[in-house]
Amino acid sequence: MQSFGSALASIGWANIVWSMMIAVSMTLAIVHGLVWLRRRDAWANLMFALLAASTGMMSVIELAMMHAPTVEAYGELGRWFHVPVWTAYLSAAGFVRFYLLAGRTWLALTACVLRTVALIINFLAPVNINMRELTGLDYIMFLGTRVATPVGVLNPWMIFAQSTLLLLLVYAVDASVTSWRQNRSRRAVIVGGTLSFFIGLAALQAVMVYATNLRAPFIGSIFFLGIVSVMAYELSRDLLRSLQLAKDLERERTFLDAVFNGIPGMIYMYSPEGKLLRWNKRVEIDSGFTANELMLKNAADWIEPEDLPLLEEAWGKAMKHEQGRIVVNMRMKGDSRGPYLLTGIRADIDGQPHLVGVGIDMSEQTKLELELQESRREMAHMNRVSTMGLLAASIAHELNQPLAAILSNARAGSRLVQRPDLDVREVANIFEDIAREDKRAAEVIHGLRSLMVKKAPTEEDVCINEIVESALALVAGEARSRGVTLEKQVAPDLPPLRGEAVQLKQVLLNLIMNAIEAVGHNGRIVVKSEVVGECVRVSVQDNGPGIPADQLPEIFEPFYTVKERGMGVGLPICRLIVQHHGGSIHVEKAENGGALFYFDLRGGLKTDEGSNKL
Amino acid sequence: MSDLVYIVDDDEAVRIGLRRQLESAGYDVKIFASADDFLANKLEDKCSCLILDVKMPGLSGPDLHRRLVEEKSLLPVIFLSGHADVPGSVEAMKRGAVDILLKPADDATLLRTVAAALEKSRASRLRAQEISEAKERVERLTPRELDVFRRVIAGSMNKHIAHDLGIVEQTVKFHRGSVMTKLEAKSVADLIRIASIAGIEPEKSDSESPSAGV
Repeated sequence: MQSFGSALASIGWANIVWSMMIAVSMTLAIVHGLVWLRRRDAWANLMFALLAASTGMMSVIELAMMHAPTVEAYGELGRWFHVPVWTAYLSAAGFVRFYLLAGRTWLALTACVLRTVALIINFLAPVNINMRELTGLDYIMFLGTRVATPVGVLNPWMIFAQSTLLLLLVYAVDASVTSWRQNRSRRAVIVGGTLSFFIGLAALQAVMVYATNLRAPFIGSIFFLGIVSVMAYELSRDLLRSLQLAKDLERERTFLDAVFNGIPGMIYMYSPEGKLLRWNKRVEIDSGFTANELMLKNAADWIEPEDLPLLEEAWGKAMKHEQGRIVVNMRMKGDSRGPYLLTGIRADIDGQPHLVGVGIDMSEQTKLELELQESRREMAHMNRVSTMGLLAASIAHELNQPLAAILSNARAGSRLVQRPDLDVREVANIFEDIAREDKRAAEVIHGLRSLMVKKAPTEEDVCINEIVESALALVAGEARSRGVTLEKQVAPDLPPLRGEAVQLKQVLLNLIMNAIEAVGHNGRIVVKSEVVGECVRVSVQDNGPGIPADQLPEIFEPFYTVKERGMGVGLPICRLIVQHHGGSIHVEKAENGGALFYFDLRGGLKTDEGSNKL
Repeated sequence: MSDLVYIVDDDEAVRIGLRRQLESAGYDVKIFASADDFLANKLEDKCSCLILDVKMPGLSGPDLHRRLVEEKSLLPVIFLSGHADVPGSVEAMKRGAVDILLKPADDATLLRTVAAALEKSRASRLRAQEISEAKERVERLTPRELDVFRRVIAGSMNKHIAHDLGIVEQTVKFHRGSVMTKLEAKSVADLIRIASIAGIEPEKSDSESPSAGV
């Protein structure tokens, strides 16, 4: 140990300390310089790197001055010493500006300009800004090292150089105060306090060395290293904070990953060109594709070609920052299909409009929906059958009329042809009438059968006026037997609609039957079709007592009835059917005091979410 | 000259079919689209019947029938209904309808019913003729002769009639003779028959002893 200590002493502690200061300053300069290279907006780091590098250079020159061989060399080194001081000065001002985000710009500029002036004076002076005349070197022992100290006449401009240091101090304090007010008190105290303290000390030491014959070497870099150290500590807090942030992010990421992959829905991201970029586990599970296969997927690959317009529309909507939604049968691995609700919103990633969305398996909902449809269809059928039950007597009558006419004509014909004076024209008339009446009977039967048969729903082009005719034919007998007049007012050239004729006829039958019951003997019912705006309106108006105003809102509610023997299902079914056709049904008081029911239909059937055809 | 069948049915095809059916069977037929049309038409004075639909706008079949009964019309009515309606049918039969047929009615049944109705018409027309003849003859009698007539058909003897009316028996005999002549009767039996057709009530003699009663 003894030999180790004496070996170090022979090197001289000043040499060791200054070398270490150079190393520390340069290392910090490199570290923060690299930070700035990576993040060009990290100006505080760049300023710090410059400050540290300047400090390192100051240490280098100081060390050289300690070992200056001649007076001339000492003076020359003392002059060049002011170059790193100048850069340190500027970078310290810059650091304050960028790190505290405060300070008066004019003050900073003035300080920097004045320091630059000091640097120029330094190079114009006979020796340097500190010494006007250097007469000799005095050697002293400093930290076990023999170092040179100057002997000569002071330069009066030194006051100017030192006062620029004070100006920097003023600037730093002012910036700290502003920063403090902006709620960055910690930074303000540390940066402002450190700068003031060490710059003050450095200025004092330099004055002491030259003015008071302190017989000490220049150790200004130590004070700057103090600044550098405190700033480094301060900057490292940022580093520590980002480490903490990274840890937090990691935790968040684990959580989000679990959510991302555990959510019972597919999550995906597509590139602007429609390429699948990211997806969660559910996509792999549901689709059956491997990650390698999914990497090659485009958005359009999932759907049937006929659904492409739907996809494009939803995509376009998403790009306009709206929620794009479609329900389609997705094509999974092995040609299997499944109904999915696909949503998407725009996410600008790296300045490119990507699509991020969620896909939800709708097969369960679709099944429920189908069951619901089935029960609704069942209900509608029951309603039709019961309507037919009400009409049975009058329909039998409607059938017997043409049958009676046919039979009479046939008997008359068979007798006429046996006569010698055969009137051929009369016989032809008879046959004509038989054929016509047969057709009439057939129409009644057809109308009846179409209502009784429970067939799968088929969407077709329907002519509203034909439906009106057909419904009127079915209730004509009932109306006649009850002494009710039916009047038909159909508009010609109605636009064709898409829908289910049987269901629409059922609505009309229900409305007419209700009206017949309401008006009683000598009642009058007007069944009308017309175009209102973009809709086709079918109305049934009666001259009965009307519906009390307080009951109007409830009349379409299930199990609500104003009839003695009513079940209260007829009008709700009418409403379901009309709504299913994308229309609306209404009731109001007619001008004549009776009830006016009407329903408006648009172009076609409502298709919920695209795929569920009801 | 054929018998006449009136048809009232709002259904044109049925109406015309029936007309052809009955015309081909040899009847004269007149058709009407409603009960009101029928009422506006003057009935022909001949053997006839009416085939009437039940359900019609305006005046219904049963309504028209009721009206005819109230007017003491002799026209026999056959209902032709689209469907069976038991209470309505009972009502119609009670009011004297010939029959109620269901559409489509079998040809033979229809013709048989029409024939029966026409037969009924013929009989009632005959009877109506007898009544009007009898009434016409009774109207020829003087009040005193009517008094004698009503007592004769009650079986009273001349002396009791004379006592009742406060006249002599000879005068009764005289009145009785002119009654026989005016009523074109040959016997008391003839007188009783004419009285019953014309609806003349017999009058019992007040002075007749109970043992002398009929």
